[in-house]
Amino acid sequence: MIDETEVAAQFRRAFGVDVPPGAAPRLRAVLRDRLGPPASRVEHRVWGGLRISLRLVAALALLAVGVAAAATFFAAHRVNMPPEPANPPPFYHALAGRAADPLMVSATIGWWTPLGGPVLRTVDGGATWDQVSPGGTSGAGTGYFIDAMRGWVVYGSPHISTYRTVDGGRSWSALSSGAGSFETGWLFFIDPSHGWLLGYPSTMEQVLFRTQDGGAHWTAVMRWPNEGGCTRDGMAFSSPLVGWISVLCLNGDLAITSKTLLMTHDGGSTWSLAARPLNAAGPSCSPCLFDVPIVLDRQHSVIVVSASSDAPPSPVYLLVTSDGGTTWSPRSLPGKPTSSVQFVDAEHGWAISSAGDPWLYGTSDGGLTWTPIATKLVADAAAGELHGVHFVDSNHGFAIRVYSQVDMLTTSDGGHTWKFLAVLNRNTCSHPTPTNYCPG
Amino acid sequence: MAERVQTALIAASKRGDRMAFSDLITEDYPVAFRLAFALLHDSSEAEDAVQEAAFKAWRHIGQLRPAAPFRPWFLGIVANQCRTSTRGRWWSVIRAGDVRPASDEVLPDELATFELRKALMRLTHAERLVLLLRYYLDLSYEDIGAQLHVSPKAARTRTERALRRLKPLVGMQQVIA
Repeated sequence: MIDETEVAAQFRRAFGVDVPPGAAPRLRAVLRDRLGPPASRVEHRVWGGLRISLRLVAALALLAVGVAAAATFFAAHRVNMPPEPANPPPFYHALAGRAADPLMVSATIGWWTPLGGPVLRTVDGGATWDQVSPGGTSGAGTGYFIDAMRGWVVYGSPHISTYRTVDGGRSWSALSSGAGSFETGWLFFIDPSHGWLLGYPSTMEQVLFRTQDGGAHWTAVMRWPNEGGCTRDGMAFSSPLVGWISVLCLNGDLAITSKTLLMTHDGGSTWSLAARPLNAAGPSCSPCLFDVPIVLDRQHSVIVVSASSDAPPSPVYLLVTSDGGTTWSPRSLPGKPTSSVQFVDAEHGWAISSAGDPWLYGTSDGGLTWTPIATKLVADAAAGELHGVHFVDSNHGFAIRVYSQVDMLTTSDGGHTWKFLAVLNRNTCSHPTPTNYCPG
Repeated sequence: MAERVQTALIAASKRGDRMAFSDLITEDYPVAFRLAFALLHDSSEAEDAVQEAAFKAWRHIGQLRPAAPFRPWFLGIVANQCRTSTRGRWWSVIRAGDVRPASDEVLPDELATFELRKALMRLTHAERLVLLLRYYLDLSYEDIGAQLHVSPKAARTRTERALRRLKPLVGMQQVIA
């Protein structure tokens, strides 16, 4: 016999929390600002189809006029970007993931554009963060940062606005602005000039924009109607021409039915299904769910493949390429369930296998072999467990240890030894941190 | 919210009415936040997850079946968003809701809370979810079944099975004979 009253009491003691005052109004404000305009009932099909109505033609003409007017209004402040080195270093987009995640570009410097919040930057490894948003902006921007000093932020409301910094956020240049609001999704730059922006101008479609001048001008290169429960939910590029977009399909209950990859060889104007080289390379998953590649450099990328039959889907193997995506080879993972798979280059990667206590595994041969590196970080049984890890290079990384407090730890030997960096506390809005920033 | 009012709001949302959709979300925000907090253990992460879930619900509102209630559908999106948030996001646990300065002394209640939370994390997402829906959000087996697309009887069976899985992981002998 289960004493449900007592069980419920224990759960309420463990999780009892009041909804923060202002949380619901904040969400209403964000929804008001960021949701795309009501869906147009004009039927149009730019991709492979030919039904275009007069209303759509008129709308496009107005949009063109608006863009031209906005371009005139916003003078493009060209910044003298430092010349690109002959052999560009690998960009940190391999570690960026979704723009809403913090991005450490070195052992001490990182960027963060949390959902609905300002642009933040740290110079002490994440212990404290400074607001560095472009002046005059508010609300949610999508950020992308390629090193300690350079990056972009794109705002989709009240209209599309692009800002670029080359001095770590101390100053920003307003590069471009477009008419109409746009729910920004993903931003990706392969170098200081070539970038892509994927988002929702309305609930009915997704649009991919491309820039070849560092964000001064954006051109729509592809449109996908939202149909069949499928959306584009991630993108990555390895060169100005070669890139991937993942397509996630959900059924009526929003359960995942498939996740496939599209590939482009012309910078995003045309796309084809990348199924054949991927499906032929690894074991069957019926169906396999392919994450957008972790791009390490122009030749090397890693795809994490999950099995949809697992609940929830968890990574089951990797696919690696050393020829820019023409061919792929499977690599195993340390064990099920696995999480936090990441690579900093073609050889060095880490994964957490959560069977039992979380185990940190490492590879130095591109996933051919995995070796356990660390379990608990301290001998004291009451001192908590390793939760998340993040590496910025083959030696330097960060970890989170949780017990009665939350500690941030750091390593400089690839995860074998760790030392305490900071206890993470909530601060007031006078000293914003990722735990308590003050939007608006 | 009266069923007729909710039906009208859903229909308006499907036509692209953002204000109607905001009203729908606001009605269910407290229960959605509590579910996200229980899954993510952090207030700010919970706000973010509910926000992301709201965006997804907006984009897919057309897929909500006619006459289907909004709450179980939206809570399913929230739960799925929380699952996506924790997997692979190394930063997620930083924003813990109960961070405090280091102390050598852990109070008994705090220890029990920590033990229950830690034990729940050892269950599968599905087991954790059904226990939170039943014992934290106080949902009926009918409501839980609607969210999981199973019968109320199956929802009850899953809950009891999950509770028995939890039992050896935390001191619950006194409540489960």
